[in-house]
Amino acid sequence: MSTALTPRRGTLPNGIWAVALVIATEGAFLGCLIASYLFLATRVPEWPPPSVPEPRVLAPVLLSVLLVLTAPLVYAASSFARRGRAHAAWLLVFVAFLLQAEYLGAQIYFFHDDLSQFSPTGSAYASAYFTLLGAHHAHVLAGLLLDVWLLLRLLGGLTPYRATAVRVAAWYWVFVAGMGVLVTLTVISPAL
Amino acid sequence: MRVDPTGLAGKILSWYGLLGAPFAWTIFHVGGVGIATGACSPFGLRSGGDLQPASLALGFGTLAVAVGGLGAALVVYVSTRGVDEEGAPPLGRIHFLSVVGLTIAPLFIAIILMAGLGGTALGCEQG
Amino acid sequence: MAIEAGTAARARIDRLERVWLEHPGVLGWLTTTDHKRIGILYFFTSLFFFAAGGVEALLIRSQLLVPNETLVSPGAFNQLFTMHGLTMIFLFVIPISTGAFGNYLLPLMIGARDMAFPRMNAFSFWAFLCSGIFIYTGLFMGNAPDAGWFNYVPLAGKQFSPGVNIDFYGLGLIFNSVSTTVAAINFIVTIFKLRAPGMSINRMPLFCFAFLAVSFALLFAMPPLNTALVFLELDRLAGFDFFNIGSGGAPLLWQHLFWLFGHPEVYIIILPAFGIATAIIPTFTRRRMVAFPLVALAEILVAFIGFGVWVHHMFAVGLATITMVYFAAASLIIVIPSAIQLFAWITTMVTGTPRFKTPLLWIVGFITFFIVGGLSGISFAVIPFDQQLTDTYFVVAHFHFVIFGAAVFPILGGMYYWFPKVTGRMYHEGVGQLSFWLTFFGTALTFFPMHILGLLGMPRREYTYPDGLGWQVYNVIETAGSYVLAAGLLLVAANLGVSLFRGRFAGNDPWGGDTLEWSTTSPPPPYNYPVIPVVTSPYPMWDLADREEDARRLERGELTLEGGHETLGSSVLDAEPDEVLEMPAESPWPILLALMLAGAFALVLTTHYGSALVFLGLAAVVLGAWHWKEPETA
Repeated sequence: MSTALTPRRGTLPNGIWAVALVIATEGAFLGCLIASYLFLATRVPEWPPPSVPEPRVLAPVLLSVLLVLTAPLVYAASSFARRGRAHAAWLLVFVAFLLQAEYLGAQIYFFHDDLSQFSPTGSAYASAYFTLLGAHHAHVLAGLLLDVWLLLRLLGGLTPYRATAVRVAAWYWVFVAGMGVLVTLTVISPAL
Repeated sequence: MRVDPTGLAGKILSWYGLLGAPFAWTIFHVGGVGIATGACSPFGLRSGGDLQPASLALGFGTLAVAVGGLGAALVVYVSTRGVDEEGAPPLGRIHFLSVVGLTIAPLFIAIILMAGLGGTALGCEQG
Repeated sequence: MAIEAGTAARARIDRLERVWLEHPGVLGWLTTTDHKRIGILYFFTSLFFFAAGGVEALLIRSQLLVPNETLVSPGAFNQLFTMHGLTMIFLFVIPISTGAFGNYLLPLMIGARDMAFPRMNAFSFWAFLCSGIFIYTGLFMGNAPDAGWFNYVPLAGKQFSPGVNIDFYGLGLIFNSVSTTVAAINFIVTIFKLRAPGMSINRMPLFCFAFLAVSFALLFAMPPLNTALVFLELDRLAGFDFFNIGSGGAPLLWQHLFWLFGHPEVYIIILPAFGIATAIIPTFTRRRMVAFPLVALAEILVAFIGFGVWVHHMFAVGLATITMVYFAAASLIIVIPSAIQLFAWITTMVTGTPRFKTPLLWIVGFITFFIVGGLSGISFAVIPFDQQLTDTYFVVAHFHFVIFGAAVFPILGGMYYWFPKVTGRMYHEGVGQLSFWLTFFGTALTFFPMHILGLLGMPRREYTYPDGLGWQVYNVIETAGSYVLAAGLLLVAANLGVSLFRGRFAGNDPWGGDTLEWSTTSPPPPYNYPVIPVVTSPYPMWDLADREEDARRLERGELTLEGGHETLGSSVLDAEPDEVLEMPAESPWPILLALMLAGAFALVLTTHYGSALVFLGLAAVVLGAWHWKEPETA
């Protein structure tokens, strides 16, 4: 290394800027999905239509709370990683991963149950409902793959690059948790 | 009124002066279009609200924020008067951004006023 | 002023040459992460698509030459105007402006050695190329998209377009948007974090402000398009009901989502042109840009307000007047930032000492056409006017004046301006000026009569028209104009093509340019600068003392960063030096990732969803391999 320059306190690595921008664009995509759902709701007299049961409320809310609680775990992992504590970081990511996988498993169960009751091809409501949930679940799955990657890499020890990667995951999970809250509020809104 | 542009108050005013009016317009536009779309849809606002009061409240509220942004940009501009816009940071950068804020705020205020006033005269009739 | 090298400096330069050297031959090009090589790849690929779009245009104009012509069938005509629009927007003007000009010039202008994410940069090119091939595969199969570039439902739905034409559109554009989104992220992080010391936000060249605005606009414009395309493909391939009125869907939803993308898109098209104009004008007028802060803010403002005007493309749809008024107000105000820029450009030229070399001629042409196109555009902000002229040739005239006249002219001017920098040779000035005048008159002849045709009532996308309406004479002029225009463009290509081999050597700075790229060799070395420059104004090449100090720092070995594949990271607002960044060298992963995604999209098109998932899994594996090797750190 030819010149000794130290990042000033509080400067964000380039990778964090990149994930922030990914969150911005994915957030815009989420905004479009929710706006489309709301727009379609203004076009019909009943939402959901008579053939479709009202959305459940309790289970989605509890699951959202679960997902939100995993975000601080990954954030704490990031904090430990930046202080060089590999084992603590690994453990926190592992616990978060288990809870997030459980969240996704439960969501897939309810998704499947919904599909057995009404089809996404039956109404605009159903199309919007399943697409909104499906998009969120796809983001959770991507996050789980990121967790697995981190768990693998952290087994080999900590480097500044891997510490940044854990921080990227923390930012991502904050976004996905927020996305979960917004998606939940949107899909349960007809029942409120 | 002058502030230390590099102090906490100066920094807050600097960012408010730059971003206040655009932010206000964004809320006005998204909220206004949303209210109008909902109210003028075949089935009306599901919340039971009324178009005009909601639009007026939104208009006045965001207008206040935008005007505040203009004021903040003016304070920072006055506080950095004499600094070259291409000058060394931080003062050069702060003065540059205050010029930007002073220029853009009136434009956003104009949009809010035009659309807000238009909204008081118009309704859900098809164009 | 170029940096002259003493003995110590020479040794440092030799070290940099060794570190930054890429593989020779085809392998080097396939695995390159050098932003200049990627820019060149974007350039020639975009030009290829420009030629394809041009041929489509000439066929359209030839079909419309006389009434009741049957040169092509109606179905083929629909494919022609759709592919012309798709090609010119997604496969030519955006890639050439952001991918070619942006990639090549941005790191040079901010004093960096490369983009923030070099491999992601390479991936954005390969994904662009694959998406272009994907879309054109439809054309070669006789199944090109044929519902217009904005592809309205229900025409684009399964009932009225049962073939795969629209799926080439939907899936192809989703694929293309991956490329542009990734590129946008790269541009933003590069501009924020890699600027030379001293290049605080108020000292950044206006070209960089334009590209910052474009990149943020892309980031937020692509999601509505992708939402619309996902909905469309779910409707078409899986029977969903987003746009099916009978099931509570809304065709208007497509229009809202499309134009929420589509209007920012047109500012995305024009903003790089603004950036190129603001680079050329100071150089050829020998003065600093008038009202520099206002021009910078105007570039950002146009992109920002551009997100709030989309319904002006839907004024004839039957929306409530209270809804439309929000957009009419914003559409009127958005003219002001453009007017600010016009004022600044014209005043700079009038108060400077203009040298009307070829690059500046193109900018004068750009300003002329931008004024004409802008005036027809502001007319459309008036709702009753819009409702009379929507879907007529008046609209076609407007957008060709602004897209071709105002976006492409600076691109052509930029080609001439930076040709010496990229190739090390000068073009022929006389032929350059002739190519400008031919193209200028060809453009005017082709597109001006369309205003009149529109006012006479000729609808757009008309396959043919009956005799006796008084439309033929204008169509003849337009078709003749299109061939003159094509001749002008061919002359540009010929001039630059021949000059590439026979032009006289240019030297580092033939123009006396004001931005940093003119301080290095022509063409620039792989590492761009032997020493990271330090700047104190937006016109660094006109600050001779700073450039002399660069030379002294090169001798002393300060900020030479020759220990590895390195560049300097700096703070966002004030560009204070932060850290030394280790940049990746050549890599096979970007092209492999693009190929895996291409496979996935092709398999979705052919409804082999399981196999598509396999390719997505392979793409994830490639991503893992990509991130396996970590950069060295201090």
